Order: sequence, then C-alpha cells, then structure tokens
Amino acid sequence: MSADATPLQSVATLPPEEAARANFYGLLARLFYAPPDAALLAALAGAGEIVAEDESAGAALALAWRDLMLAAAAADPQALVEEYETLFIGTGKAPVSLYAGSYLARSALDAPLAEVRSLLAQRRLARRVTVNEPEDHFGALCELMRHLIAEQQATLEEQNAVFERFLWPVAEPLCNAVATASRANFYRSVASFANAFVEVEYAAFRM
Amino acid sequence: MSERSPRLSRRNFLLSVGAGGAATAAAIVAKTSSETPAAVAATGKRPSRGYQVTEHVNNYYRTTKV
Repeated sequence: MSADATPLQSVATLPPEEAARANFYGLLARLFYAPPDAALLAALAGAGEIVAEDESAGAALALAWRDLMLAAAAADPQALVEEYETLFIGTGKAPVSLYAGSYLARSALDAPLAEVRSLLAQRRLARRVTVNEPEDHFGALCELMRHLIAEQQATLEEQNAVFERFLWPVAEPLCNAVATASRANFYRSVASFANAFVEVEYAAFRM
Repeated sequence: MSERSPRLSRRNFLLSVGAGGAATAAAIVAKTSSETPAAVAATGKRPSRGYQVTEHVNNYYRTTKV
C-alpha cells in the first residue's frame, strides 16, 4: 500500500486511522442524538478493546473506551431513555445543553447556529428535513465531522477548521456539564469518551 | 518533505493511540446502520412537552373571546 495516499484522491480508500476517526465520530453522533437501544448497547459491550501504546492521550482514550463498554454492558435501555430525557431535555430548561450555541460566544454578527448553517451551505450540506435538531446539536457536529472525513474526504485543513471552531471549544464544557450532572450515569461514560477522543483529535491535528 | 513528515507523525500518533479501534467502531457503526439516518432522526424526535392543541386549550380560548 502506497504511503502517498492522501484524502484528496478520489479513489482513496481511507487510511485505517482516518476511517477509525470517522467511525468514532459516527458513534458519538448516534449516542448524542438519542439514547442507544439494546442492540447498540450490546454491540458496545461486546466491542474490542482499544489497544494503545503507553502514551498519555492514547491511554486515556483506551481507558475511556473500556469504561464505555462496561457502562454499556450494565445499562438498561429504558433507564437510558429516562437518563437522556432528564439530562438533555428536562422540563423547561435542560440541565445539560447539547447545543454548541450554549457554549460558544456569540459574535457581534452571527450566532453559532447561523455560523454552522453557513458552513454547511458552503459545503453543500444541510440538515435532513426529517431531523428536528438544529444544526449546532453536538451529535450533528460529530456527524458533520464524520461526513467530512469519510464522504467528502475533506482536507485536514478543512476538517480542522470545523473541529477548532465547533467541536474543540464545545466538547470540554459539554462533557464537564455531563460529568457533574447528578443524574448522569451511562452518559458520564459517553462524555468522558467523547472528551478523550476530542483530545486525541486535537493533538493529531497539530502534527 | 515537510509535507510528508507532519502526515507521517500524525499517522503514527493516531495508530499509536489505537486506531486499531477502527475495526471496533466500524463493527458497531455497521451493526447499527441498519438504523438508517432517517431512523436516527426519528429517534431524535421527542415527545413535545410544550403547547398542544387540546379541547381544554380550545375551551380556554373560547372564554377569552370578548
């Protein structure tokens, strides 16, 4: 296999590490959009371990992944529905917002949501009509990353532009909010994995 | 060459943190992709806790008419 393959080649098979990133984003999108059902929980619980060399960001990722697997094995789908509703929907104001707009400073001109929409439009993407969530939902942003990596085969620079603006500054406060929420249980593990993954992404973009 | 070495160190880094997780997450995503994106969107839909038109509400409106 040629080491020269770049994401821009139209016939590129993604290098395995880039495919892995896309898959993790896809999984995070799924978990943040809605509580996982029994099938997804079983798949998570039975997943293989991430094997990391003893490197600090990598070890954190492997540990967070194992924690998520264990949490999935212990989770009850109905309880998860309630946990998700309690944390992210609530009555009135949700204890934890899943919207990037809640964590990003508004500029004088555009709200973060408007920025995301504009960015999507530039890339000829749009929210599916059947989807009710606004585009700055964290799950939607993860799905956007997945799409950029695996389907649009965007350059690393393009991916990083989206990552730095919408994922990196949002993931930590969002995941901290979940971690400190009293009713969080399974989603605590989801959040810590999301955080560890975003840290790895951040480091990788800088190489 | 400066093009190549960032890419290479990025690659090595990602592989070292366990992008062998590719098989793992891929399997999971594949298993759940029988849920089409539309289905994911549907599960994203949640019951409205807000305003709903009911007879109770309509009765109230009737009482507000002068």
